[in-house]
Amino acid sequence: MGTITSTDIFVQREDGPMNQTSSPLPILLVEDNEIDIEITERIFARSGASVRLRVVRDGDEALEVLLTGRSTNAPSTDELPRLVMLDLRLPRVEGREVLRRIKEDPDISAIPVAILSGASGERPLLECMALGANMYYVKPISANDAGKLVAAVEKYWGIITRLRDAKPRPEGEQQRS
Amino acid sequence: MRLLLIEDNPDDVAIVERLARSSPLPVEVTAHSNGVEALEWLARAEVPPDLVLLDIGLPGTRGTDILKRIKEDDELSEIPVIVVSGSRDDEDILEGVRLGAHSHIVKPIRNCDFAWIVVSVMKAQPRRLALRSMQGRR
Repeated sequence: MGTITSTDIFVQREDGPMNQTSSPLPILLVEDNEIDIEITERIFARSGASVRLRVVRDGDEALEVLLTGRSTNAPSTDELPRLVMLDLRLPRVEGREVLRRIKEDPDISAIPVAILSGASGERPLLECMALGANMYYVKPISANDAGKLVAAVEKYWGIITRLRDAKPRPEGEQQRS
Repeated sequence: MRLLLIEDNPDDVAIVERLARSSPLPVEVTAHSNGVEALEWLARAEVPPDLVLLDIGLPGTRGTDILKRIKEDDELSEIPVIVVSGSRDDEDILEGVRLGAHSHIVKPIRNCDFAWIVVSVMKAQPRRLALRSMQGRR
């Protein structure tokens, strides 16, 4: 296995209550380009988002992290990332294949995947969306979009938790034609 | 949040309605089993829905034709449409995304799919963000 780095970026958030978390959002960044890794770390630091970034440098490592986490814990635990940020051009296992494997595995498919693409054409966007990508950005992601992404992902996990715990409201609240 | 569900399978309608009733944020579901009827409802609606959830495998009028009509209509084209299919290998998925679908999900719709639908409408607009990001770099 290659080098894995973890970076904790703690920044005080000023968002509303739904965005407040007690711990940084664990993110798996799958990126082989050292410059892009550093740029992404700096962007998250600037975004104001509180994240814990773990970096792996090829698709095989990414799947190993995700599948090892799956075998020991459910996706809601800290052992698995709450967000995968995935470059498309990766050594060993290519980004689209990593995306396909994540979205086809019922144990980890709930983890949102944001694509970081180096290509600006529409074709890779369409392919990734068809494979189940949750978000798609052309590199580098802006600090504003990074902040929005983290807020959306925190909200997403909050809604899942509340859906899991909720009792459905009476049927009369629905409109049906 | 107002959601238009175009789905002919009552079991799948029931799943979405149950998730909507459990949602921490109010979600009002209007369900139509027929695509043409849904288009007529959209044309008459005083307040358009925030999102359309479209079964791409509808019997009769194809789901991709319904999507095309929505995306070609100036008043409706901004409404995000998420296509739903029975299989990840459905060839209509790529066609749906090409025609302007926001994203797609595979049946059965799970908690996580529904949560992402809500988040997408509330905050993030993945497709729009992506396209804007691309346009900025051309």
